[in-house]
Amino acid sequence: MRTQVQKLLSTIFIVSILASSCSNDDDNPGVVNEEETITTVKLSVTESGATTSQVYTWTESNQDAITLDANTSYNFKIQFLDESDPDDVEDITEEVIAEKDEHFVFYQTTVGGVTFDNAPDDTIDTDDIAINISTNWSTTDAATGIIRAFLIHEPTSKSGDSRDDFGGETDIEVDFNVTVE
Amino acid sequence: MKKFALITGFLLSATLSLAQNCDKTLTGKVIDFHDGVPLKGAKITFNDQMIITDTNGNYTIANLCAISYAFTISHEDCNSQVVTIDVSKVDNKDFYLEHHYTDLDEVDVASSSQKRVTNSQTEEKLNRQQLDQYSSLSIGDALKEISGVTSLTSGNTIVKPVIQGLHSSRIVILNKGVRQEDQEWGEEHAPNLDINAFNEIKVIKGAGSLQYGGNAIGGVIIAENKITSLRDTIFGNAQIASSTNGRGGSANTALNLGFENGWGAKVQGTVKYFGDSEAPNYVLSNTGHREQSFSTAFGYNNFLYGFEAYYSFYNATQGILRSSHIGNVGDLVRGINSEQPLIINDFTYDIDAPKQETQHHLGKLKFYNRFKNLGRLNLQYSFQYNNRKEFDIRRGDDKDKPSLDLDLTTHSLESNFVFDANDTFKKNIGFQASYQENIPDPDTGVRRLIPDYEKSSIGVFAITEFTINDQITADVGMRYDFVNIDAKKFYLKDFWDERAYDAEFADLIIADENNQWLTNPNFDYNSISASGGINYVYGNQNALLFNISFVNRAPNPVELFSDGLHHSAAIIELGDLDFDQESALKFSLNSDHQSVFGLGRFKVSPYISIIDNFILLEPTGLDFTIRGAFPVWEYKQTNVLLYGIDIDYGLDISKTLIFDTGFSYIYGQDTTTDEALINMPAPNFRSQLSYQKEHWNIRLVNTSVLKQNRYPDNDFEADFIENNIEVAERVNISEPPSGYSLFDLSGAYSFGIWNPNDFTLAASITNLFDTSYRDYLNRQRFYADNIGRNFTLNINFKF
Repeated sequence: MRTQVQKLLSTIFIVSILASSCSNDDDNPGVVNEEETITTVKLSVTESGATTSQVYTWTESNQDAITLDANTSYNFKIQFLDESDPDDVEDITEEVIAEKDEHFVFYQTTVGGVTFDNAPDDTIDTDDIAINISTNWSTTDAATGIIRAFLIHEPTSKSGDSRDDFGGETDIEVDFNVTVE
Repeated sequence: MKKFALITGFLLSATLSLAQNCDKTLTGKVIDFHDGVPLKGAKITFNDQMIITDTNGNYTIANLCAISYAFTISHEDCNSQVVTIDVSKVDNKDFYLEHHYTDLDEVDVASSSQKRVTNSQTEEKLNRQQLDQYSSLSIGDALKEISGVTSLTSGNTIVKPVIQGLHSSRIVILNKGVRQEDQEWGEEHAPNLDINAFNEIKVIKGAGSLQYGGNAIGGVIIAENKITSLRDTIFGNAQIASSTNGRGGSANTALNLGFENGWGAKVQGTVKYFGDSEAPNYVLSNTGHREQSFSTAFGYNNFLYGFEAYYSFYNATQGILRSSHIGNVGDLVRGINSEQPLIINDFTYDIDAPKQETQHHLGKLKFYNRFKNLGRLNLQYSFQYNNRKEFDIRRGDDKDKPSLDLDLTTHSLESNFVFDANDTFKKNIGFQASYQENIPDPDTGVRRLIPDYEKSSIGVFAITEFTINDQITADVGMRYDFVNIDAKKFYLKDFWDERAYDAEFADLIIADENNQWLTNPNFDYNSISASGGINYVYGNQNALLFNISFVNRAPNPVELFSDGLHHSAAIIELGDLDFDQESALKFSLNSDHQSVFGLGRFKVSPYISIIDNFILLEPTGLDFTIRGAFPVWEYKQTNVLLYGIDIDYGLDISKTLIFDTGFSYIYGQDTTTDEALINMPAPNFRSQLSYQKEHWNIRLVNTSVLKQNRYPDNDFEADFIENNIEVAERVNISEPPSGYSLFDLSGAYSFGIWNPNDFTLAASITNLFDTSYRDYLNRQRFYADNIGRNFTLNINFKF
């Protein structure tokens, strides 16, 4: 019996050494820089008739405030960027446009007298619905408030006037402070 | 041997019966040793008499003298055994026979009045007959039959068992003796096990089962899958179940081979295929489910030694309710406010993102050797590989790429020695050593939720069980555990500073990757666990158990390393590198009466747990991201108090009509903040009326769950623009849904084609009245109702 016990103990010992020795390599795992992340929303605002535009940027560390003139019309072009790697900035707007049927941009505002509609050069999806990448805005009296921009992924509907009407998932929801003067 | 015993029995009784009063009666049951099913038609022979058990396994032997008899108990499907009983002292005795299944672990046939895993803890079990009813569902569904066991679900297919309020890493699941390592830390990660692979599932509702691991604060689930040997046999079964809800079904089959020379083998496989489930008023889109699993085992055993090899494979794809995938808090509020899920499509079998794909391989080799007059040595090596892929709704080239892809590999070596030569003083000593490696695939393009890590652990234990007198058995156990976690984790530099890790953990940084640090957290956890209790048997099979356990649990990788957005919950979850171990002190009592004044069986199990450093998630504020504002939930450690009671009552109204009811209540309180604990199961009742006669078995089951009124207030405010005005709205995420009451009706008819009762035809209707309800512990309760009525047809053929 003693030899049996010894045999067993030595087997346990050998197996445990085998189990513990076939491990440990010191290779470090590779870094993952998030793909398809949107870090930056840009609004290019052009007064109608003008050729130069003002760009307002929203990032988690910096949010530009927008200043507009009263009783004026503007064109807004929205852009979504991945700037997580400063040396390789990706324009996610291209993907949104490529998958236009699954995306929709929507705005809400608390600024009195400000209204918007899609612009003639807007991206049109296969159901003939403009998805608000390019929009025309008009102001009336002086006012302050916010413009909230949404990028909606796989909306259940593309018509309506409140966020609830569209369903889908919110990929982007950012606020710009706006002054109309 | 049998002959010899018979002769001794005869002589014994003949010589001693001279001047005795022969008016004694012995009654009891003959029961299947493995699954507790009473054996009909078992023969009890002594001297020249033979008694045969009735349909419920009962026997009565009258006119015995007050002396010792040697009884031979036999059954056509079993190995016979001889038991000597002194009738002057015993008037009731249950005999346990090896019916079909002869497990390698339990070669010796015991005629103990109960077959338990622990001495003094509350245990319950489900046998194969009970499990058969759930063949197309999951283990978590079946375990709800046990009072005190509830489930944490994500929809109807991802079902995690909850034992007395605790789940996930706090529960150990043993898959045929191997601790299942399948990333159990996640609340939406169901155990990767096929219910059809097991003969029996036991639940230990306690913390003190030290032989299985030191960190089972919540309890242990033991799933047994036995192979047959020591008799020449071939048997098996084939089962097909088909359901209206989900418009799918499952098929499973098992084949067992046994040889008298000690060899045995088993093969078993299951396939499940379901489309979208349906709530009473709508389709639950993208909740389809597929599963394929397979297991095989073979082994050899004789009384002295044996070995066994086992392999099991599990592969599943599970759809996640489409409308539970949300982008931000606004989407969550829309989901909560809407009566119906926001996305309802036509029924389909297709499963799109969001979904999970999981795979689990388990292989083990086990060996035992028995030493004469000493005990038995067990040695086991196991290997497990688990892969989990989670698919979110993504854009562009990443559409078909998983967002999470984890490979978890575990090697374990364990051994124990059971000193059982002395029946009144048993000892069990042993160790478990394991090495685990987790490798998240970086090709997902999403920062790793769980980092690369290696976890090494070793535990040693010693348990002793000693008989104080005929009625009292005591147990004492100790265990030491060492756990090392060696991780390679990337932290965003902003986050690292924000958490003030730069001061405390600066030396963990091993590389600089632009905006991220690569760190090497390497933590050791040492702990001592202890358990002790008594088992007091009195009167006519009544038992009183009392147990005290002190157990520790090392924090899991999520609790340590989480640092980002949890999509399905729309919260930002933050772990903490500073966490210490949880330590739980649990007192449990179990009082089991077979007959209370002749008015039925009664079992009551109160318990109280005091857990220090309990890790839980708690909301701490709002974070503004480009996706909008998100509530931030941080893992924190606090002290909690849990107490509760499980009550079971059963009454045989007549020989054919049986009533059973179970109730469980649990109270959970964070004693540091003096607030209710989140996600505690609501008080619930499960009652069953069953009618059993000859070939028929009809059951009516009611499940009633009250509203959980004790919950922490984690509501927060979010702002919305309505009619050009910014308004704040309270987001009601805290209040549990209302209570509900459901009825299930099932009937089974068994008949014989080649063998008695080899064919069973069963039909069941769950949620009979198509009740719309939501459950507090269903993570999709914000978005949709639970499933509605389901009609299932089940055909089971044994051969």
